[in-house]
Amino acid sequence: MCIAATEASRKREGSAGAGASRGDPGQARGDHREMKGSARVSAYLEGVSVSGRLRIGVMLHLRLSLLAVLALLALAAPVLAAPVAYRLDADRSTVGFETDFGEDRITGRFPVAEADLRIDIQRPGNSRIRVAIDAAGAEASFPFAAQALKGPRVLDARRFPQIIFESTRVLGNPAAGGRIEGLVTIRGITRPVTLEAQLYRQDGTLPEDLSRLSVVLRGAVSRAAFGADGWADMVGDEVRVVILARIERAE
Amino acid sequence: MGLANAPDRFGLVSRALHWGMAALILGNLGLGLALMQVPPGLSTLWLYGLHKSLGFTALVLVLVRLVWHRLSPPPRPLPAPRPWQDRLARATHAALYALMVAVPLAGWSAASASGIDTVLFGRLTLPAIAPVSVAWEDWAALAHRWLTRALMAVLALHLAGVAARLAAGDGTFRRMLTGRPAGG
Repeated sequence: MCIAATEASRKREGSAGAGASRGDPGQARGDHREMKGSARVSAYLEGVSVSGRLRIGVMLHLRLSLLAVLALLALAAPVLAAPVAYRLDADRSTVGFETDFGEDRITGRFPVAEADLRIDIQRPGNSRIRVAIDAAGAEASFPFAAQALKGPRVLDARRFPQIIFESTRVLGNPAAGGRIEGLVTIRGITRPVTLEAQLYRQDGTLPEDLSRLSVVLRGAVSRAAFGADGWADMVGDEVRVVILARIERAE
Repeated sequence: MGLANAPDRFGLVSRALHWGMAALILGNLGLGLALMQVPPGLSTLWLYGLHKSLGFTALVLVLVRLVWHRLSPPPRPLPAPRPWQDRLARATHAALYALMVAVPLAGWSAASASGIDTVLFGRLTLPAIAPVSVAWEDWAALAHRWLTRALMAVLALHLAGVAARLAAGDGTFRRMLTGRPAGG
C-alpha cells in the first residue's frame, strides 16, 4: 500500500485541510475559515499497478477539506499485517486550537509531549493512538489568553499539566478521510470525542514509502464538559482543535 | 504660591494631588462600570489594562499624599455649624483614605490570583500579590466590587459635605480650589 497525497499536494490544492495555517501545516493554528469551510472536496484513491497493471480510481467527498488525496493501493506493495509503531517528531508536530472571543477569536497551540502510535495502514481499525499534550506549554495569540488558558479557571495546568487523548476506535480509512473515536482527559475529567483523521505521506517521500507520515486530526470539545469553563462570559465554550502529528516508523 | 501647606491654606502639591486624584478616581469608576457592559473582544481588551493602570496610579498617589501630609500637614478643617457634622466629616475623610488604598489593592489581588499579569500602560508588569487561586480571585473580586460601592457611597457623602460648605459660604471649597485662606 502507498499514499500519494503529500503535504505539498495538499497545499497546492489551496487548502489546509489540516486546518493548519496556509503554507505550512506545521504552523497549525486552527484558521477558522479553513475549519469551517464546507466546500465539497474531491479526494480520490488511485491504485497503482500490481505488476504494473492494476489501477483503481475512487472519488471521495470530504466535507471540511479542500484538498485532494491520492492514495494508491497496490497489492504488490509491502503488506503491513499488524499495527506498526511510529514515533512522533515532536518538534514538527503541534496541536492548534481556536475559540471565540466576542466577535474575535483566540488562536494558539500546544506542544505535543509524547505519543504512542501504533498504526495499521492495511486495517486502520487495528490502529491505536495515545497522545499527551503539554497544557503548561500552551501559547496563544495574545499573552493574557495564554495565561488565562493555563490558569486555574481553564486548564489549571499546574495541577493538570497534560491533556491526554486515547483512541478507542478507528473508523474508515484515514488515508482517504476517516474518523477516530477516543477519550480525551482534561483537568482529570475524561469524555468521549470524535476526531476526523487524514493521513498524508511527508514531502519528498515516495508513494510507497510509509516510513514517514503526517496525521491530521480535527475536532472540537466543550470547555464546560471538562470544568474548564472560566471566563465563560467572554470566551466561547467550543474549542476547535487541529492536530498535526508528523510521525516516523520506529525501527 | 507655595507648594507646601500652611496652617490656614492648602499648598499647590496638596491641591494638585486632591484634584488630580479626584479626576483619576471618578474617571476610573466610570471606566470600571463601563467595562461591565463592554462586549468582550480584542478591540476592547486595552480598556481592562487602562483600568488597572489608572487604579494603580491612584494607589501610588494616595500613598504619596499620605506621606506628603506627614511632611507638610494640611490646614485643620473649618468648624462646621454642628459638632456631629465635624465628626461625620472626619469619618468620611478617614473612610475615603482607607478605601482609596483598599479598592486598588483588592483589584490587584484579584488580578494576581487569576494568574494573568497586571501590566501597567502596556509596559510595566506588576508582581503578583496573591497566590494563583480561584478562591482567592473570587474573594478579592468580591471585595473589589463591594469596596468600590462603599467608595462611591463615601464620595457621595463627601460631595454632600462640599455642597453644605458651599451653601454655608465658609470658604472651604475655595481654599481647596484656589489655595487662598478661607477668610482671605
